[in-house]
Amino acid sequence: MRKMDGNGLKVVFMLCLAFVTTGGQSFESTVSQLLRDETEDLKCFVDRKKDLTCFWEVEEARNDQYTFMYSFENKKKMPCVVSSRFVLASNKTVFFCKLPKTLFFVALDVQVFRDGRTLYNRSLKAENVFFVDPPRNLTVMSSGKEGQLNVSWLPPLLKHMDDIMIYEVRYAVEGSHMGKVEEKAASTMLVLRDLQSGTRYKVWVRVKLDGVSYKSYWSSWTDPVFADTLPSDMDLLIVLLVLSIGLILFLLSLTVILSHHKFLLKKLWPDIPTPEHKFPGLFTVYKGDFKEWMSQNNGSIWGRSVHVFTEEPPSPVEILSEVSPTSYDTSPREERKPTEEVEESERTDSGLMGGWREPPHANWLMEQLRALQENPESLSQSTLLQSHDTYVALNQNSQHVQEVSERQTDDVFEETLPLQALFTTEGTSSLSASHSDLGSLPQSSGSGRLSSQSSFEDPNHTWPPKGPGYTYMAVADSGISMDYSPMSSSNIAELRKHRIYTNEYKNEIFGNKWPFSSQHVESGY
Amino acid sequence: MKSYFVPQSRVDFAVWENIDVQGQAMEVQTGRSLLALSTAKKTVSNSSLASTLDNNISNIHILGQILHSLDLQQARSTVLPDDSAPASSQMQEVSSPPELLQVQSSFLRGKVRLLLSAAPACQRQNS
Repeated sequence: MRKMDGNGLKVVFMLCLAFVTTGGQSFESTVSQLLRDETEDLKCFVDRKKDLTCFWEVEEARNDQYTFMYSFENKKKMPCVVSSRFVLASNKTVFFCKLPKTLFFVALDVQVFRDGRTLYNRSLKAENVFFVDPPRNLTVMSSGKEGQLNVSWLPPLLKHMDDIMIYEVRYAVEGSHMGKVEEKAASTMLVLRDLQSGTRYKVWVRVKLDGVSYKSYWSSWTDPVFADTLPSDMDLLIVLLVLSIGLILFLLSLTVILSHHKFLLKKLWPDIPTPEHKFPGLFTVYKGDFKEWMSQNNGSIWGRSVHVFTEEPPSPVEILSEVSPTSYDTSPREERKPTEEVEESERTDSGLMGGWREPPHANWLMEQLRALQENPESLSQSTLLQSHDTYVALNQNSQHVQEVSERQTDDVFEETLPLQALFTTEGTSSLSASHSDLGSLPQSSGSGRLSSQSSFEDPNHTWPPKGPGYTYMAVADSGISMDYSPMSSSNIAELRKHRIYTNEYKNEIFGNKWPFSSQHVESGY
Repeated sequence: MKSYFVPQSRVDFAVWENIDVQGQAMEVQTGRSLLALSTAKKTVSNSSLASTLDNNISNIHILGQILHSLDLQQARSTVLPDDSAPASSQMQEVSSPPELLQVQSSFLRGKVRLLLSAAPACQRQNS
């Protein structure tokens, strides 16, 4: 019993479904469409069940009696029951009659009487007034090619007539009112060509019978189906190319940045240089007290600065001394010594800027230099055999240092330097002239000594300060280049007879400036 | 006045679908024969109409060959000679050539087409 009940329910459900689905296009929609399309006053059509229905429009709903009579092949006339219905879609009332039996391929005569008088009279053939449902399952897909769409559908459910249907496909760009139409016979699919790339299209389909055996009206349009055509190959290619190149560049730059991030960080965000590493303990232990630091670290600095000196490139140095004691405007404390080998320098009270004055013994100097060039070995041998150490002793006047220090603030790169000591180790004959890049150091006015240099000589020291075991250099500065030449013993001996000429100068790293600072230079003459 | 015996062209789908293929074939063959006989009478005086009727005769013969190729040719029909009164429900009488042609047209469009479209050899392959 339970199975029966279940089966019964299923049957009922299927019947209901069939009733709903086999209705096809509703009577009202058919009538409303024919009211527009059919020109005859008495409109007749055959539905999918092959039943003929005739109807007519009534403008005013009156209580009129309508009589409907029909006959096939001029046989006996038969009546048909007339009904009325209000069509909402057209806002009209129609009277209609559905024939109990419909015969095809024979003449049919229909008459409508209103109140005994003939209203309509029409002769027709049933096979010529079919009204077909629209196509089913409209599908539109991209065909895989540019500018093409594949359209497919199913024919309406109409027995015996699947192969005699003609279809009309309408398509338009979405949003556009301009559409195109293509006709297709005996096939339920169509390929739309020459469409715009990358565009959304709207597609409809309708159907009618081919008119050979059966004729029909055009069915209503299906509901529209939307589809997109493929984008242009070129556009897609260009987009892909640009994206891939961008990605590759991004990955490459990322790789470079990651592998050199330390280097880049150093370049873009460099550390602020500090001189702390050259003054160990100055800021940490002695809290910037230079005096204290100097007193504690004097010996070690000497060695360290020497190391620094040897690493750094030489800077131009001028050693100026005057052999002749006259014709110079000098301060009383300064001692001038004429030199036959060194060009004189002009000194000013400031000691900063000085010009060149032609030395009175410039010719003698040039002769000496020429002799040196001609016989370099004799001079070098005479000097080198005596000693491997060569240096030029320096002295410093504290007052001039103070003057210099006041002016040092104007130039960040100015360095107050004495002429650095020139050292050679035993076994080598090279001379290294270097300066320290200590920068502006606070000067100790009391001691009169620069902490950076250990090559100072007090003014009271006898010349040569180092004794006979050392060699002295004569420096010739032509304003373009500096020539260092070892001094012969004879010259040294001569200089011993004279008082030492001191001069102050300032040294600069960058080439063009040659300010002269208040530094004393002692050279052996 | 001569009368033409022509086949019944009416199609009642409810009835037609209940007839088997053989029965349908017999109806078509009977009707074809009638048309052939009637058309061969040539009693018209109008020359254009006469030429149309001559074409019909050849078309009817071609239809017979098509039916034969489809194995739908039935045993000879039981059509009586034209001078005998037709009693078959499959015949009707018309009195003029235009009526004859009209019936012929309906017959071909109706029953003949229905029969041929149902034949397996004539089934159109839907692409």
